[in-house]
Amino acid sequence: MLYIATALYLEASPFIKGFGLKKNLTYERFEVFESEEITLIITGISELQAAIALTNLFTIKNPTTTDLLLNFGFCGSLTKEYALGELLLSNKLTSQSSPRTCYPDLPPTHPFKEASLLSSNTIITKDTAFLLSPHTELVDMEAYGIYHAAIHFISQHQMYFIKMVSDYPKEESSTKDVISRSQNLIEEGITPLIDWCKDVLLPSIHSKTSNGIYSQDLKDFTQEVQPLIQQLEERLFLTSSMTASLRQHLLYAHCLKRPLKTLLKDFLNRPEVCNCKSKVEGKQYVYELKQLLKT
Amino acid sequence: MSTNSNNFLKPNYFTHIYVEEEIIDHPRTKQILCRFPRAKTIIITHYKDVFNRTHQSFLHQKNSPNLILAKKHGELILKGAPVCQGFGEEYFYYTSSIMNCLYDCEYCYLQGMYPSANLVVFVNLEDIFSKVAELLQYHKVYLCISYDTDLLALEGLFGFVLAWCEFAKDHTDLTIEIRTKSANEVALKTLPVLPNVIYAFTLSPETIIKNYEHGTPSLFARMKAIKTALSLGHPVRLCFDPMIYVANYKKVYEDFFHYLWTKISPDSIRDISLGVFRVSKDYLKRMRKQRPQSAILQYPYEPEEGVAHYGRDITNEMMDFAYQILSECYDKDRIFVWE
Repeated sequence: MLYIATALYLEASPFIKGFGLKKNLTYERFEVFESEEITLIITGISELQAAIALTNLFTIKNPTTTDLLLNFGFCGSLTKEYALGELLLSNKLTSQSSPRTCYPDLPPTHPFKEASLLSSNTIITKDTAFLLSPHTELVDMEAYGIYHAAIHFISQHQMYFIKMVSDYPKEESSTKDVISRSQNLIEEGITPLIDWCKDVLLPSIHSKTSNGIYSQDLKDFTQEVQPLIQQLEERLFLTSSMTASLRQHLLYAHCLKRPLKTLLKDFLNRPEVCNCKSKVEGKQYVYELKQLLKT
Repeated sequence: MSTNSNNFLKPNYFTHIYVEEEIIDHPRTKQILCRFPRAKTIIITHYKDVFNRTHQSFLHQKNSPNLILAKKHGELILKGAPVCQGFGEEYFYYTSSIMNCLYDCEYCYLQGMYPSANLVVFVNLEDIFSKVAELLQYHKVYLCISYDTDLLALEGLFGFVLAWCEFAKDHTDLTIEIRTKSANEVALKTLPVLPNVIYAFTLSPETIIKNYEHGTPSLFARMKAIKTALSLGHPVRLCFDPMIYVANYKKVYEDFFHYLWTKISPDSIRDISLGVFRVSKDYLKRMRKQRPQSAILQYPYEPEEGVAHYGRDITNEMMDFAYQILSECYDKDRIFVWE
């Protein structure tokens, strides 16, 4: 699943249109739009709002190790180096409300320029921004909150913060001015990001090399072997530590691709195992089974 | 800095370099940054802000590791750990001027020890040298400098082995061990030959290399590098450590040892280190989480005083077996066995 978090409907609209997302009316607290492989949430403005909304969504959806999160939104640029409408990947996140700096993992290749970002809950001047974070280049209102909510659910490499320059903060800039100009900027400049989602992010979610395959394999192992372990536990009078140790042996044999199901069934059908009468006897049989699994 | 090629680096390696603000003007920082003109530089306050983040995927980062340039503070030299082979040296120390390695050995303890696969390079080598010089005023020092990394493999990028050699040249009471799985013949040819700088090549049977030592040079390539090192007069140690337990390990290791002595003369080797795989119990827990599908990590190891190992029986069996074969061709007194 590709999760997209934006603060405003204006920022969400190109994704809703581009990917044909449909509003999910079961979400009462926040606006959520979905397709089979994308879930988009409109968080509202501010770090706190963004964190609350994403936490709410992730608590319900429980993202996996193969899922990705994209935070997209407008930002102010503290340098004229970046043009209005330019898309930038944030490589460093700081906040007006916290002294901590965060560094999400970055993809080795991508089509965007990179910049450092300061999240602020109020409109701030260039001087204030530099005072808070000397190397900062961009200012937004949500990224830091999104990061801190997301990191409780997913890993550093699963999130991307991409911002579009909508203004250059001045002494008297206002949110209203910025939003009115942003409509045009987003229509003209969003295509590279939509394309990146289509060409890179969505295919990588389905990539077979990801860790998720292994997690699934582990689940399959548990499902296959657990009932047989239970039978062994009962028949051989195993303690919980003996069971844990046996489970590790089974996992090892599973990694070696040994036919566990057959092996365990044969073992369970042995007459002496069927007629096991004591813990001492059981201990002997489980030792034999472990030796069998190790070799 | 050495002029060796860094062609072995994949294009997605070191695309980003995090640099501590404190050492941005350090000459070694500038030299390293020049090596990667296309990398994006990100200024950071402390390397741990990046390296020690929560929820990092070691395995994911292994595919495209980044570089962190930092200044080493605190204890610059550490006493040798009990899980390490001390070669009977009384004053056995180790130091890490680089953390992490470019290779991806499935059994590597670094994936359990470090939260990140990014490489941290401490540019203030001179501070470490000062600390070693201080110790040398009191006694001889035996120092392993390539435990938590592979300095020889990285020599073309950072030139740390050369820097250590230059220091060791002037401090004859210092003996340095450089542990490596590399086959960096170019570096070996350019580095000064010193009696107190030992190149300790870790060797494994080809099947172990192929299955578990991902991204490392083949046995053939390592043997070629050893031969080059020997022909130049570098002191060479062979490390059969860790030996890995596989079902047919006797056949695998017997063939391997015999192959070895057909390629190099036992007399030319300074000494041999022998040990089976063992790892801190806590590291193993994290390593298993990183690679749940790895047979080598999911082996039912036996914990003993915080260390997970194959168990007394298998450990002794493997050690006796290897010792027996090696001692047929090699002086027993120079085979160091980890116990």
